[in-house]
Amino acid sequence: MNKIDKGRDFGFDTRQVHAGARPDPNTGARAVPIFQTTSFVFEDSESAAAYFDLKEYGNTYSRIMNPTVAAFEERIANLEGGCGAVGFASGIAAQAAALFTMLEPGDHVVSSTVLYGGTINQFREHLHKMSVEVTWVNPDDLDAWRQAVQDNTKLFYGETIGNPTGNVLDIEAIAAIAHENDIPLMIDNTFASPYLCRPIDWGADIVVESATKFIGGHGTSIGGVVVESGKFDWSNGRFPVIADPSPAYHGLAFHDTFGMYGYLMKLRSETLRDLGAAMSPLNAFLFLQGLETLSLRMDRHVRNAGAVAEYLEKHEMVNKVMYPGLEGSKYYALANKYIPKGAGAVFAFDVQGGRQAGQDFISGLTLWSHQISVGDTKSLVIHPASTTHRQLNDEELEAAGIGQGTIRLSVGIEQIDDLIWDLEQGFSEVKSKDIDKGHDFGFDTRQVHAGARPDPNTGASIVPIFQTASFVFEDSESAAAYFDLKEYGNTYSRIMNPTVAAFEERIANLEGGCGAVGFASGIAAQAAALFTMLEPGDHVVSSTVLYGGTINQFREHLHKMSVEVTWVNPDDLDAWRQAVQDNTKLFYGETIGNPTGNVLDIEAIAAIAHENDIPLMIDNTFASPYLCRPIDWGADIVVESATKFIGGHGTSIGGVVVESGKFDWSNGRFPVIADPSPAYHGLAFHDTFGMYGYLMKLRSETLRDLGAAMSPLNAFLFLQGLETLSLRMDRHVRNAGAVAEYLEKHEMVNKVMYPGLEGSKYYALANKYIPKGAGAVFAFDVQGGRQAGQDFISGLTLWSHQISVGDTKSLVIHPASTTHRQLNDEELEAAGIGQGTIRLSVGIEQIDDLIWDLEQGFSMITGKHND
Amino acid sequence: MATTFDITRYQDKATIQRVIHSAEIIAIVGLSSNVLRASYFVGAYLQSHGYRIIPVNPRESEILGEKSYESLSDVPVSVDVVNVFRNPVAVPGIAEEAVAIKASNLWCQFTVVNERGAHIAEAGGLSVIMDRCIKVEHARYIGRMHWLGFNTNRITSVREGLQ
Repeated sequence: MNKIDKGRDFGFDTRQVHAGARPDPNTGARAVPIFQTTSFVFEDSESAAAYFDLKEYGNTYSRIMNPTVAAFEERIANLEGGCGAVGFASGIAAQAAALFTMLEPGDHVVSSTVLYGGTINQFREHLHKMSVEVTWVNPDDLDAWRQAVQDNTKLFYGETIGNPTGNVLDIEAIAAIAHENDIPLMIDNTFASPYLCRPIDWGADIVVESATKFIGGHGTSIGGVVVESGKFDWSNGRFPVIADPSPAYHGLAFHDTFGMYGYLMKLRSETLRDLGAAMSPLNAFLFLQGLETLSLRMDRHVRNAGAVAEYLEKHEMVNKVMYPGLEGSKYYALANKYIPKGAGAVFAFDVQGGRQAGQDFISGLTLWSHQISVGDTKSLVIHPASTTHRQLNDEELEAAGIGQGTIRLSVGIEQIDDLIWDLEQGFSEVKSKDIDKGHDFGFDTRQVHAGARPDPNTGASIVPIFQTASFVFEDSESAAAYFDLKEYGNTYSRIMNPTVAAFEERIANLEGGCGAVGFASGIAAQAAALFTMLEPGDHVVSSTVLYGGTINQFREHLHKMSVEVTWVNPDDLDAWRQAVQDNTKLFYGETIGNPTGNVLDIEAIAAIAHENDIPLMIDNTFASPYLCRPIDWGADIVVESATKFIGGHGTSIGGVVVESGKFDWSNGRFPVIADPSPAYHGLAFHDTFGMYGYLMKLRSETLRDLGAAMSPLNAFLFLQGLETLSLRMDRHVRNAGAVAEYLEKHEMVNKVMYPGLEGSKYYALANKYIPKGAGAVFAFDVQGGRQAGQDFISGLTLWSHQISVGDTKSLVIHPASTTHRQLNDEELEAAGIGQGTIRLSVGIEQIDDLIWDLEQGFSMITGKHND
Repeated sequence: MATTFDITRYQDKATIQRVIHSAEIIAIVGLSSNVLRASYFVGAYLQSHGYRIIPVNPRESEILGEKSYESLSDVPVSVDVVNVFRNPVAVPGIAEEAVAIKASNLWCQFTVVNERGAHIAEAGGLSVIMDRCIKVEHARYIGRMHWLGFNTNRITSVREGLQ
């Protein structure tokens, strides 16, 4: 039934998450696989020949095409409104290939003067080498464009937002002049990204951009892309290079045979084939993750940039702010036309006092990162006159619009008051970076920066992926000190790893704990947290409303280690109190219960636990530290799956244990932690390490002996995910609230178990513990029982039918026929699950697209559906 | 009175999918024996994806291993799709023939646009698709167009079959 694609016009926010990506038809994998392979095996000689003749779409060699890169290419083509795209190793490589595909010796190009320096180098050196002449024009002067056209002119070229002086190009007018002369317009859209501007909508024919910047968004990877509109007529007589038969393919005429796809086919099959600047599959994978949050990031980038520009404009030490979004800018009208959602996040300003003042300003900053590149979640700053443009003399600098005191900013997505606090440091006299100011940074700044520092050896601004099993010792003494836990030192990646450590510190910071230990999965984290503190004969009091995996773990593996569990209704405070025994060592519950959405009264339950000298462990997976910090309410240990909202993109399995550092493990109940450990010659963890004792034991004994270590690559991906945690969560809960309200009013729905609904019995607790939003995972009951539940799911095409939660993509499952199918009716009822219960994990797509798809599900039940 | 010709009426996505999912025999009017022409690319592609193609070209006797016929009326089997690679002015005549042989669908390739031809075929009970490439549409919905970074404009979370 859902074989027919409805051809709906999906919104940008849906397309940035889904376009180009489909479930893997072979394995079912939801995230696009990383096809880290050089080549592809042919079915037979005939199909191999068809691929080489371009008669069939087939993978041959990853220099020319690769399925991971293709998913990225299609997503960008879709977002830019082009007919297709080709990915490259860098933005500069993409642009070189776009030019080399259409130009021949003796051709002529008309270009704006206000460009990225790398483009100017490329044009001056390499177009010159291929005997192509360039006429440089003032981009604001339409007559100059018109008058520069010659008989051999083949291209107009400019940037949406000029680098670094922020002039906005009048794309529509310049495209019209180009087209009057049968010439295509190529636009570098790097500074705008397809969210702020789609040049093809204004008449551009080719869009090139660096994927390194806003597209990737996290500053982790180099890449570029060429998008074509498919609308330019390459057979107009000016472009024999594309229209005429190609000797490389036995006389194939690309424009004739492939029509609107001809230029891109030639770009891939000839230029990329012969010049070879291919995009890496791993980079394409990272760009895909970046694109999933493009609009969320860009909205924050431009909001922050506008605020920084206004702050600078009013500052007494600033001469000029070149931000096109300011009313005083000469580009303000053009900005309102072409980039109405916001005038970008990269711009320059002139500080008073010239070169020295510029350098001093930068040396005072501790949050803004002093580096090249732009479009990172982190805020970046550079002083062109002393770095990128230091070879220019005063006159040349002036021609480029750069003064001695010009500072270029790339405004990140951190908390705005933290960014302005740091700029104040730059303007102030005090220049001592050695002293940490101890500023209280906001959550949005910490989710981007906590745990990550520039690599002291190489200068890398991003935490490296330390894909190493072990670390080399300086000498025998330091090796011994590491083994005795006398010094912090890396030994073996099963126990500690610098990439994992950056993730651990970031989570500990966001949860408000004293530290954290990462694990291979959420379940492994929880097992290790339990095994560290429990001994045979101990007793645990646990909520009944839990993730099924936790119930399995408690039933099977706590039982195996002779630990008894008493299950209590989490809403019944007396039940918690009465369950306490002499041997009780732990209270356990979930912030938001799975799947029925009950909210735990953490503060009250922590109080009961502490009255009895017992710690409270909370699984915070469904809330994430953005919605709730259980430690603030008295919890002692937080465990969570990093697979869900923390990673956010559904790419990696991982988990983490955070401890508050406040529980007194020496209270007599916990000899296992307080008493001397035979494994370390009698070391008493609580005694020696104080508030860090529990975590030291967790890492140095439990992780060491059970070995469920987090992968460094996964930790790296979780770090990227955390950078957009608050942005994603705000969207997740907004969408979830809207879906819950829609379902509540639906005639075919019996019950919606969302604690954010006023009718929910957990509404008051939700307002207390998760006031920013009641999560994004909840269940509802559809009328008609099991068959209706299954029919509903079979009608969906946008919601993904799978387990897991907390993905940018919306997920759905029918527990009675899948995860809980082994239970009978009574057992299902006890678990709060009906035959018609559907569990949703609401993603960050456009809300009307999500509701449109739910309507498809309901239509499937009523049989209204007919294709 | 002249009305504006709304071509999007002949580019319906559900019709396109129904045709590529259900068709078995496709007559290609104007199929070239030149291995570099677009029509040959399309014919070879359709053949390799399991469709039977029937060349209709009076200047050829056999293309892609199939006997070529002078006209649609000469084709001895029932035709699901009449696929047209001809000058747009030829479409009305082809449409009349397509009605006469009781073909189910008329599919005119990129730039093969003719309003009168569309009306003739429709009046004769055929579904009409115009200014669309049957290879691209097959590759968009069933095939591998997305392996080369082309914008298929498809958004789906459905686990589909192997490509």
